[in-house]
Amino acid sequence: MSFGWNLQAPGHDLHGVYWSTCDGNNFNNGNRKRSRISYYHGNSNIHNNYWAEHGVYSNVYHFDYGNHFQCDADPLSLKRRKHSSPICENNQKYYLPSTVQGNIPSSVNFQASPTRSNVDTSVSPICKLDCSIFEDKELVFMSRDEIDRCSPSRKDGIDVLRERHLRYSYCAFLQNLGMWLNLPQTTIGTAMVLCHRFFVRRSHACHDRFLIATAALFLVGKSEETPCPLNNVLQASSEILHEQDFTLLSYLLPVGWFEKYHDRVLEAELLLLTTLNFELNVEHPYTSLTSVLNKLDPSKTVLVNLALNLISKGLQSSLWLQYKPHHIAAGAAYLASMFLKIDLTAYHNIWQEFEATPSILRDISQQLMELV
Amino acid sequence: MEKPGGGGVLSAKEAFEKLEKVGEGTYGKVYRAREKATGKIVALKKTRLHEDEEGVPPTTLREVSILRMLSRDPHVVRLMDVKQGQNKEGKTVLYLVFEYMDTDLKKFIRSFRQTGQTVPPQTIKSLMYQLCKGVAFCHGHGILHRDLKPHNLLMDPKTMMLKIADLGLARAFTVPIKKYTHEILTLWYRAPEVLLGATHYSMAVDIWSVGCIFAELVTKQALFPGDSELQQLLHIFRLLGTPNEDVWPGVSKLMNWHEYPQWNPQSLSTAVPSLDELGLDLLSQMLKYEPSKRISAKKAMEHAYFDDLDKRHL
Repeated sequence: MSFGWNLQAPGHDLHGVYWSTCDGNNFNNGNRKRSRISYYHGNSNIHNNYWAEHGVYSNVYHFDYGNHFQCDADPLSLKRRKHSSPICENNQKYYLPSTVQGNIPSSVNFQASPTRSNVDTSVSPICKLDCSIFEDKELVFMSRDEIDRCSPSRKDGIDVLRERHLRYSYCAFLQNLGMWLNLPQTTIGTAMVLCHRFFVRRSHACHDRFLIATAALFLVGKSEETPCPLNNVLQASSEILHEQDFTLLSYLLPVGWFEKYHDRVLEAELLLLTTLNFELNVEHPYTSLTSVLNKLDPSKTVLVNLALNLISKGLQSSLWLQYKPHHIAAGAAYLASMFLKIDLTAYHNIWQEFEATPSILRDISQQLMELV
Repeated sequence: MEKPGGGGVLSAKEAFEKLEKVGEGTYGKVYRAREKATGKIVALKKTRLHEDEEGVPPTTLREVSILRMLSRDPHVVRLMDVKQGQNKEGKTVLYLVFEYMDTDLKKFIRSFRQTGQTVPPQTIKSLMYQLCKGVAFCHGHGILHRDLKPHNLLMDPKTMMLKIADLGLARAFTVPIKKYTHEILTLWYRAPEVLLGATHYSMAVDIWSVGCIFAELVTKQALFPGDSELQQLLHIFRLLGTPNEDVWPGVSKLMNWHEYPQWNPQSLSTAVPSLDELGLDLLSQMLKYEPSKRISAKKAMEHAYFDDLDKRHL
């Protein structure tokens, strides 16, 4: 499935951000469209106009293959933190085990969904002192507000709107890179989600998003059995980022740049793994969407296709950090049905099939609307 | 960009004292080690990262990410931590820190073979139940192990506790089951559909391996000890009969299907004479040719063979 990605939000012209201009079909016939990014090959500096617009002139990212993006101290973040981590740790929204939920009085207004049915809630007879660092680390879902407020980037003066655009930019880059390398859409989607998880824990100011994205796609390729040789990944990402054929880059860039880039991506891979605590499993909503909708009415392919498109658009957002896959599927189906004026409530229990409450549907469809 | 693994976290060298090498895998050595802070004995699985300049090996990635999901189960080996270190050449290495288990099922069976003793039937039953339980847990979480064999089943000989280990070849499966690599699994425990080149396969490949392990526990000999893919198939066909479209619809469409010598199926009791009737029934359901007809791990746990087993502590 290929989609045209129009990622630029209306009314925002952000320079220095990678905007994909690719159309999926162009990758199949060798006619690879070049993407637009402000890389100045003279001294390899990227001047980010966003900062200039907001009167912060000192924040310039120096691009060099030895050190990648180094943060110059800017007025908004005088003290550079060695490790950026989310601030809000008490407000995290854990999904309650199904065993617990049964005991909650119906009068209590809570918004929790059952855990995945395959999670064993029984306690194994293991001494707590011997506990593995990986045990009981169920994925934590945060609200959009928590993600926006607690992002480490906030401490470095990157506001919510700016971070949203940075997110769009690395997603567009990943989509482009993944298609260039002929990787499946699920692999590309998983890489996007890993990047979202990474930047909830680490600041954009201290990490080059394109380097992290490149490492994420390389990593996911290996973990999902769609591996791509590292040199191919590096070559493609260099061509996309520099808008130049790879053969020309050796003339334009300093001696040894490729080897340095190679090492930086492998370092970024390790950083990703340690930051994410090796949590590489990402569930996508595609399966639950198609299984529920096809059960209702297999003839509604237009609805399914539109919902699938919306899910793919949703990958640019932080939805995967907020909701379980079947909830995202429900939100996409709900929004698609509204667009197509199909009344899905005619199908009895459809939202129960997705285990989705009206507030979940509203919130997800609202967030998807912002991307369309 | 800051270096990974920085901060106040101890490196592997600082945190552990290596005691002895206990094995060697595809990507590095396995050591018995002592955690300096607690004195606790652990297994350190060393992974070389830049052997082929492709970063962290896929087997390590899969093993760690899968064990994150599965380590809650008492019948899956516990991954306690992942530490970073450097080798003598200054290259980065990862150490997977596992709980230490004294032996494995391969050594356990060998010890009985060497002394000429038979494994007590109740011990076999207990070990098989634990194996089925561990496999059911993996399958319930959408994970195929794909390399089940006695060597990958760790044991505590005092408590007779069994744990599934070495998930380097494991992977998550999705619906519909995708095309998977068929160059996996140690030959002796490899399912016929994999040997015949099927690229779409399912949980049934693990059940076949469990059946082979079951028979080996009883006889102390591998059930199908082939030394090549062809020999492996012929071993299977000699005992279970050469499959055809009647017993296994679609078999002749598989990539590696040829005209094989025709054998009639033998009774399983000829290969596993000391196994009781219920055990033979369970084994026959694990070794069905048609993958979709093979018993599931969950159903196997409910089989009458396990009825007289005290399952409270398993």
